Amino acid sequence: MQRIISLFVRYKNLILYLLLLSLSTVFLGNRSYYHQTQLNKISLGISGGIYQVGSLVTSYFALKQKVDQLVEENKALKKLTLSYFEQTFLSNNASQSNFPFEVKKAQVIKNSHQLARNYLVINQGSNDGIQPEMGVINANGIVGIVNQVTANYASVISILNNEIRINARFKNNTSFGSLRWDGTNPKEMLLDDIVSIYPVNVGDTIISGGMSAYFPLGIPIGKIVDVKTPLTQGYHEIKVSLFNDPTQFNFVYVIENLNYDEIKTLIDKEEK
Amino acid sequence: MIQNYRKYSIRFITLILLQILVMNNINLFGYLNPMIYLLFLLLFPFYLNQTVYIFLGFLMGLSIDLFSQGGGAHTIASLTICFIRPAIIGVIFGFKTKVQSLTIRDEPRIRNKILYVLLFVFLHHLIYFVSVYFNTENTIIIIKHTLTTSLFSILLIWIMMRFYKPSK
Repeated sequence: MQRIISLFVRYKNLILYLLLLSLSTVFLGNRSYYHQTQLNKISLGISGGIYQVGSLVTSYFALKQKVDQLVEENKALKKLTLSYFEQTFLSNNASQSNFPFEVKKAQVIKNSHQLARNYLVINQGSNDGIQPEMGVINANGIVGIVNQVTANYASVISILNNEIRINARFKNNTSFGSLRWDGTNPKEMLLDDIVSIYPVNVGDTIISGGMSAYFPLGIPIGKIVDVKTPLTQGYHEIKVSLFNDPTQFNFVYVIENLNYDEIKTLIDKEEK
Repeated sequence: MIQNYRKYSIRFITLILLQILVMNNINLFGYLNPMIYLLFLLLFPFYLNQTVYIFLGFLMGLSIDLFSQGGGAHTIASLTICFIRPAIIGVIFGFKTKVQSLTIRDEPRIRNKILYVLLFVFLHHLIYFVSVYFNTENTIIIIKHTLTTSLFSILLIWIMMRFYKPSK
């Protein structure tokens, strides 16, 4: 005990320095968003490696399930390619060159759904062509938007994040709104900004609206389970049940909008 | 002793006020703000309690940051410079020799005096700009800002050191 105390007294300046330094680093991180992201980038690089090991072990036990899932996914994709082929074949205008999205695959190595601001980590990074602000989807719907990227990993803001808004519309009519999560049930989201003069029915399908640079039009998102129409406000209060299960994300696809820079410069110009 | 405390407190507050009200609004060439508050840390007696000195450095940086809406870079820079001051003193005066003068102003050898101020201010500015930009891509900006701001700060600090009466 005597020794510990004398050691402490001897190095008291160093201890005080490190203590105050960490205090001011926390202060710096809290005050400035730029520093926060820089610090997060460092910790993402470190924790990405750790999660990768954990994911290697646990993913082995879920192989059977994954194979089933992949088969299902392939089936759906096959159907999609066929219908797409049919469409282009019938309408006879080769719109293939007009589809500005490219798809990359990735695997989720860390996921959370119990926080107010959830995020995922995927095992693809800038070396694989992932860049911030790319959209992330999976077989059943939208997963999120890429936030930060290191060489081999990327963090994705989950749709289960109360700061994210996703442009969404009805499958059978063109009125659109924004989808957000209220932070309670991970399988339910709210659809805002739908004007109450539009008729809305329980069971209507919601798809992505294609009005953001992140996601193309027509990714299925969910079904309406509850509609309330307050008399005093001009908007519906719509509850959407997701097709996706955000607690079970595993294989995801990162979609790159090839025209993103062009759209972005246009938006920036408009907002100036 | 009481008088000393009063002297240091007045100096502490005056320099903070001078920094945030005058120096932070200079913006020479658009970005140059000399950091005059370093004078307090520079003029602190060599052999007073080092723990108190580190804490004062932290407090100084924190107050500047809070008043000037800074992130925390001033805090980190002045805290670190206080922590490594014994090493700076060692480099300039020699690690074995005990410095005879009470503060740097009483140092008779002009060479040591200049080197001490130069190294102290330069290192502080380097740490400050590194923690502000915090990215390897901005190395050139960090070096440029460190050099120009250091030059300006050293000039002002040197002039201000002349204002004080020599202590007895």
